[in-house]
Amino acid sequence: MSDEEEDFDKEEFVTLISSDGFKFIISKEIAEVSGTLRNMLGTSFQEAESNRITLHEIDGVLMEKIIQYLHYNFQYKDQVDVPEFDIPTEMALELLVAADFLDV
Amino acid sequence: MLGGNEIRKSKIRTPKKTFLSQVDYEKSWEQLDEAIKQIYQKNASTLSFEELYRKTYNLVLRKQGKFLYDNIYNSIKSHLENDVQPRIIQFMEDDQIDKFVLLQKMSTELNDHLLSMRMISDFAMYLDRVYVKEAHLPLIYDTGLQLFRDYVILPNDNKVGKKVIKLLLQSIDEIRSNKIVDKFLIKNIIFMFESLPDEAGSYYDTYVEPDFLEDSRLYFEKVSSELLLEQNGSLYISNIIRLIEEEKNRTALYLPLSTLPKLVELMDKALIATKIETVLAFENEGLSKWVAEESEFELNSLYKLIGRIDNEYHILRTHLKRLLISFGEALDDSTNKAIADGPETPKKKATTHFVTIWIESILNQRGVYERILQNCFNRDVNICKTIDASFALILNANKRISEYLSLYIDHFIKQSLKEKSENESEEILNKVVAIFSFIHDKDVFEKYYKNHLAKRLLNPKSNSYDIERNLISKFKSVAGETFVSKLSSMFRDINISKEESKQFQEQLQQEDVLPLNNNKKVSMDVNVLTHLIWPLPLTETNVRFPEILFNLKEQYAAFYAQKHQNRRFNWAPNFGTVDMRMTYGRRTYEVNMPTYSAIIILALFSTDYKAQYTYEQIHQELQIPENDLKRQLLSISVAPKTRLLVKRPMSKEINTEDIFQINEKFQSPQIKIKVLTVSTASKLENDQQRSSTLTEVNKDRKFETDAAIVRIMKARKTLTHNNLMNETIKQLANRFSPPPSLIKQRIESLLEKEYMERDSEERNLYHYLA
Repeated sequence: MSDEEEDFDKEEFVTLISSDGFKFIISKEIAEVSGTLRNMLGTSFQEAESNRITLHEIDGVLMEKIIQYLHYNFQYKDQVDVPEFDIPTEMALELLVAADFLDV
Repeated sequence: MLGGNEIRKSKIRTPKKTFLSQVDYEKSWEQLDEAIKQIYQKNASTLSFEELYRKTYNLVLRKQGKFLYDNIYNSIKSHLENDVQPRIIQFMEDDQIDKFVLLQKMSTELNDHLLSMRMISDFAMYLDRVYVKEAHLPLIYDTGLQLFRDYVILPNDNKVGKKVIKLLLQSIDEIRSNKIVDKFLIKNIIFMFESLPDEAGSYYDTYVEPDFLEDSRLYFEKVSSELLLEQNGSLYISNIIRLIEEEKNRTALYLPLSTLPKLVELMDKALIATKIETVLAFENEGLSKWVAEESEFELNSLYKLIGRIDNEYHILRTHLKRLLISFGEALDDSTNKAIADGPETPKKKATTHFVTIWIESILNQRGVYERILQNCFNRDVNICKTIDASFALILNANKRISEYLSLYIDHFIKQSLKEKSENESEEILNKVVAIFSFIHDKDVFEKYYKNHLAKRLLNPKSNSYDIERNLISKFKSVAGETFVSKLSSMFRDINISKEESKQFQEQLQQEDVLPLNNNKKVSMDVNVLTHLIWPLPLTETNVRFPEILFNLKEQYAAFYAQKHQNRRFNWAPNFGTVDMRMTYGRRTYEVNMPTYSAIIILALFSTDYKAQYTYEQIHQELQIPENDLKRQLLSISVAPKTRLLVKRPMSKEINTEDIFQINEKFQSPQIKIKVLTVSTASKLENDQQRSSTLTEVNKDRKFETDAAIVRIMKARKTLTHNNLMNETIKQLANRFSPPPSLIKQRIESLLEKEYMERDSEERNLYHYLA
């Protein structure tokens, strides 16, 4: 994870920033699995303009797990037979709250 | 996982808590309220979605959903009430502003509002998702629309709404009169109204659509009434079709799909249902003219238009029927008048001429309708039925239809046949049979047809056997085997007779028979006819045959008796013809004449050609019935081309003292001469003949009814009165429609004759008695 502004395609990627300052650059398609992120990117607020979303409620550790889940969800959407998603017990409650916040 | 942050695995980390105890709700709301104002100002891009979302999220999480919802509600409401509405009113009250500018303004205002609402509801999504759902409230976005309706459109008795609708309808009217109007603006305005909710659907459904439809109705009424004033059906129809098409096309651009069917229904009612009757009845350029001229475009358009309002085409059918009936009445009137006037016109036309005209008019008319059905009415089943029924009505309204048709066929076979190609005559036969199928009293037709057929078959010159047979097979396909059985038997008699005449002929040529005929070579064709089948009166005559004919007669009788036993043989000299050679001066003629004429000449003049006889003497001598005798004498002494005899005094009347002798000065340019009996051509019956024919028909009907009843009872053994009546009517339907009184009468008669009996207990039940 780099501090430099990456030379990525703004149309396809979005930068997510955790409460403790970690940046995650992920595909918009993946981000939009979350209803909240989808709305953020879909209307003409600051986030949609800058393509950067700061999530003050979520720290880096949690963010990484969430992004893993977003990929997992995207990969297996519309499928029935899917492998289990590993959730570390100690993060369960935090993830639950974050899921509610992000509407996933 | 980042190892450094890892705490013992068994312990679940609790989420971080922000706004822990002293959340300043009011302060949060102030920030949100400020953001909403910024959104209205279109400054959303300066706001952080995440921050707004997080604030609503936390408020909702802290059970402040209602507080937040109410505040948002009030904020939107006050914005609409205090900013938007006054702005619009101010706009509307300015008379200088063009209506399209105003509509545009309206559209923009709503679009802006919708955009703002979209953003507000986006960042407040957590409120929607959690609180609104639980509290069963409308979503923020929908609330925003309701507020717009309640605080912008509806205030002051729907003031803004009414004004906008009025301008909208004005614009639509302008589109209709082909003025250039921004249809997308119209579409936007309508879309705007559609997106505003209302109790039963949308604001559009409740307020706009009814006004639009009423406005459209007035427009259609106006257009169609103006068109009707032109009194021109073709003009009306083509304009209406165009109008409907145009209206569909232009409304497709802005009208909601749900309104289209209503508009179409409206058009159908205003332009077609309420007007078409008037259009049909137009004297010039109305139904009667279109049918007369077979105007395919008009008729087809009419069919399509009426099909829109009624898939059974009742109006069209009623008018077609009326048209056909008045056609039939006019035809009858003119024919009757022509026949009545007939004798007075200097050049007397045969009544058959009018019959031919009558039938041909019907055939032509039928042809017209056939083509119209095919080309314009898509062979619609109901219309076909109506037209057939109407033809049946016209035909059967003519009491003499059976006679007419039979005469027409007779005339056709005798006269017109040779002028037609095979296909043409086949076509005519088919039309004739179609008419036949419409006749109710087929037994009456059979009576006349048999008469005419008999005469044709007995005419040795007739070469119409093929067509006669063809026609009979067509009758059979319409009316069944029994109808043609007698007609077919007539053919059989003729064929057998031909065969046997040939055999007889061979026998005559044998030497040993010749002396019997004074060594003269003669030949004879005899038609042996079954009395019951042929419609010819059986007359026992004492006519004195001249020797030569007498001998032939006896020889044939002997020949026939040899082949068939137990048959009674009756000679009918009133039919048939004789060919003989006659020498006048130096010329010899071959004369074909009726049997009676031959008898007169052979019996009286063959031995002494200078002999003279009075009428009275001839009658006494030959015993030919007077009517026939007079006719024959007229043909051979008065008819201009065949004056074989001289009559004194020369007049057209025959008196008992008139004297006849051989006309020694007879001359003719042709060698072959045919003596025509006066009135051999088939003619229309006079009233007396007709009533006697009908009496005969009625007599036959009694027998047929008896036969039908007995047949039914024999099959069923026991039947109630009503069932027997119905069965009988069904059985006889192919022949005629028996009146119930006739059937009752025949049942009574059969009961008397003990063909059947009433049940001893149930008086309405009959039993068959074997």
